[in-house]
Amino acid sequence: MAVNNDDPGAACSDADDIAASLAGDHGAFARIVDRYQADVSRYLWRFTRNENDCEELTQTVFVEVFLSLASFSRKVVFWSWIKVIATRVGYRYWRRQTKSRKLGNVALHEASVMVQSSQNVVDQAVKNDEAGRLFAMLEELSPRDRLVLTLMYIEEQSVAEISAVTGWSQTLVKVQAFRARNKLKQMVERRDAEANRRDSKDAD
Amino acid sequence: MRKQIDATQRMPINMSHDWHKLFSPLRAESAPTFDVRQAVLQQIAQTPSRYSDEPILRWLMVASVTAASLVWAAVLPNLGKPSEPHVSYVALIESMDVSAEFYSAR
Repeated sequence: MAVNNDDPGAACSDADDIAASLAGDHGAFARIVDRYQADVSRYLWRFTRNENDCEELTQTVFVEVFLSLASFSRKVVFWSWIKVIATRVGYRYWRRQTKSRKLGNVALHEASVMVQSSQNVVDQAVKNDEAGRLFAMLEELSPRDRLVLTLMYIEEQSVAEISAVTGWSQTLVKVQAFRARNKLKQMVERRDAEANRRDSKDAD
Repeated sequence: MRKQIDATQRMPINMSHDWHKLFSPLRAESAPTFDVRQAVLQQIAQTPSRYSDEPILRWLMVASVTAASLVWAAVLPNLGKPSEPHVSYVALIESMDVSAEFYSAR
């Protein structure tokens, strides 16, 4: 995280820029974007590995931050508040994807992803092969299961933090995490069993 | 529900370590960063009316959802569908995920 929330200077400039943005100073909002865009895009990379989609989601987060700025409470750390919006934007993206998969638009989406992929992305995928496999496994879970595992184990947020970001109760977070872990475990076991069956067939 | 909560609490400690270890490649990977400043400023410049009309839009949305849920509560039982008003309300909110979640962020 590039921003140090304990730094009073950073907090002060956030407060000044928020006030100026609300007064109609777009330059002040540009400074907010400059300050947080790296953190937001890194956070949204947990939600998509498509660079174009990630960039678009990053833009959406800042537009929603701007539109909601009047409701920002000074009692909350600004970055935590942005993360709530980023989480909702990312979660909506997953739900749209799930819906489009159900409607049979997967082939179309995958084709567009392939066209958009640059050589850099391919290189990154090869380098992070294990990460890629894990990400693909998470993609098979429901958006809620995926969200709780992503926040708990990739973002390493506590139950209280997840509760604050998602709006779920802490009990619901624990239950959701328990169910999601079980589903992932079953998925891994099923895949292992299939791989073993294939191996034994090949051996025959 | 009670059983599942208890089961979560009974999870052995080493199990949670394993889950953290499982996801470590995703935590370790580097992510791209983007410069969205210009695009965001352009989008903001194009939506001043949405910003100023926002309270009205919120009220309109709440009013239309309430009206729709009342209509559904009256109509659906007559159609033979076993649906409660709050179920219809949730279904409607679900179908409007973009605006509903956006407005619930406040």
